[in-house]
Amino acid sequence: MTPTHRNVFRVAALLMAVCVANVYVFAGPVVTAVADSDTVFAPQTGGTLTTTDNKQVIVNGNRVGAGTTVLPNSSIETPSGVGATVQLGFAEVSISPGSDIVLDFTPGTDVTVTLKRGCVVIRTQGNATGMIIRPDGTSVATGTGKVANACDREGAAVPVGTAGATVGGGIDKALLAVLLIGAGGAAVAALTLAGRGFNPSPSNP
Amino acid sequence: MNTRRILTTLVSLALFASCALAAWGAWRAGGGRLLAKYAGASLASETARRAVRMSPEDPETHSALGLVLYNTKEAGALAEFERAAALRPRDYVLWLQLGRAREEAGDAEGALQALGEALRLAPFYSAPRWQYGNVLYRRGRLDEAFAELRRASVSNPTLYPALADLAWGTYRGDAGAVERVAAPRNALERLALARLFARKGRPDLALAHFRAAGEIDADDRRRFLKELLTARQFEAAYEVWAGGREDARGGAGKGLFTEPGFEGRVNTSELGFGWRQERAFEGVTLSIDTRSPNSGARSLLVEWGGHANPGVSVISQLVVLEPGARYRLSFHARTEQVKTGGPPVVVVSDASAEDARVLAESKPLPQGTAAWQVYEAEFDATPKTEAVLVSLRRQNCDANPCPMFGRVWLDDFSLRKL
Repeated sequence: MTPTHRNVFRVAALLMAVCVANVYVFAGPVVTAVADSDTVFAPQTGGTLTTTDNKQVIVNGNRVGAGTTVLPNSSIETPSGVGATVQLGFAEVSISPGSDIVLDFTPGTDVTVTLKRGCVVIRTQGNATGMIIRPDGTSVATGTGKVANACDREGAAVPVGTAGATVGGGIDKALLAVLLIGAGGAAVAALTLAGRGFNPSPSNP
Repeated sequence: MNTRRILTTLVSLALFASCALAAWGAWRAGGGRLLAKYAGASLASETARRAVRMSPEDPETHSALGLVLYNTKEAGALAEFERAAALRPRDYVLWLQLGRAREEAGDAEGALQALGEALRLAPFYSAPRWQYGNVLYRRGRLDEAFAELRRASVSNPTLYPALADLAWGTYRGDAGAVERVAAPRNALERLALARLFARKGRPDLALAHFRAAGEIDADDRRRFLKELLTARQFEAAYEVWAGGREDARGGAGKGLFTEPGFEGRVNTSELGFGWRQERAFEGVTLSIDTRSPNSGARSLLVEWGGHANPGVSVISQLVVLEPGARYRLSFHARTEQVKTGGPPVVVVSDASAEDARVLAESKPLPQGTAAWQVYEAEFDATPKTEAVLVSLRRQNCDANPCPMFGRVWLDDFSLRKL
């Protein structure tokens, strides 16, 4: 085999290695959680729990994940880093990470949240009403805006959903840089190897 | 020779081209995954769309786009989940995801269909079955729902307590229905049911399931005991506590102190019905003293070195007794160089009452130095009093802070029904 052909095979081998490495690096699982609600609600006998990345929260002292039915007068505790939403059909209750609440409701009519710790938001539909009772005994009603939110202390962050990440745009620049540098390095290595193959006077006899 | 060289060159070029094509494909697939992963974490819908454009045949990119649209409440989420499941129909996770999305979009039958497919693909996994059971439940198909939930809890025993709790809520405290639906089959499930009944104020059923559970480990026993004590189910708690001790007293233990003369092992940090120190205080030291007890070989020595808060309990014991009966508490004490504005007293409070009201209080222990003498206090247990808390604390001072110095020995506690 001539040196040229050997180098062609070297480049092909390198490309093959690069493509295998690509697949190997990027084949990690994508976040597959279904976390928040869509806009259509159906009447139901109990609420449907959704959580950040389908992680577990504590309902009535038991660890449960997304999809679990939540009945009236249930206590819900969310650990730090895990938010939860309870879809009631006529209302939606969003609970921030690190909260502790008691959720009570009459299907189709009203929902009451007794807040012990953390933050909570109630959004109602139609004629349904919602109320949050704070730890100090004061209360917040949904009113005409059909939204009520409250925290156990001033200035705490109210929940925005259960996806567990803030909304943002664009690709992670550092990751992209690493990717481009890696690809560039591989290309340079390939070209160097190929170029050496065409040298009629290699340094080693 | 020329033909051979041309052929070799052509083969090399073909190989090179196919490798380049593979690298390009891998680049697109990898890039698509990378973008999808980032989009899923950051809820960036444009990035998710770019991922789909980059790798349109990859179910992961569609799944990620669906997730982002779902969370940002943009249209088209369901279609992306559908597409992801269609691209990789043998992945139960995608069907599970689709099932959840369909249900929340109001398509319960579609959800059941998708979750049924997830179940078919992963019949022994708990997650699809739990989801399927919950959707059935919310459709009002309770019998089918509980059957599925029960099967899910067999695959994943940590789901069993949630199943029992759901049954309790559904049948509004009908214990028979809960037992029928939850159908405990082993010690752990029986214990879970016992804990549920304890929390719901049914100590009789809690104990029945606890007894049926047979041998359980110390941690489970402690957790169950804690729940019973929190629910103020003292008789049941006593049985659970005593069952885990080698030196358990016979009978129900009503009106009997544990280690009344401090002669045996005293562990003040153990939960239950022995002597307990809720928390240690600076300036107060507890120890067992073998010098000059009132009787036997040992007594309790409490040393105060300036502790200033008279309202706290220094040491206490829960004692189960007969509701509605009249009792006399007696104990022996001696003091040495006691100096304080708030002398020590032994207080009996109602552990069954939420306000833990005081039922009786001994006369204060003397200032200075005094030999062993007996102290007594009588009280009436209310019809709801299952247990009393006997504790050593101090009378309030006029001054604040209210320090105390000196040593007190206690021995031979007893309760006598009058």
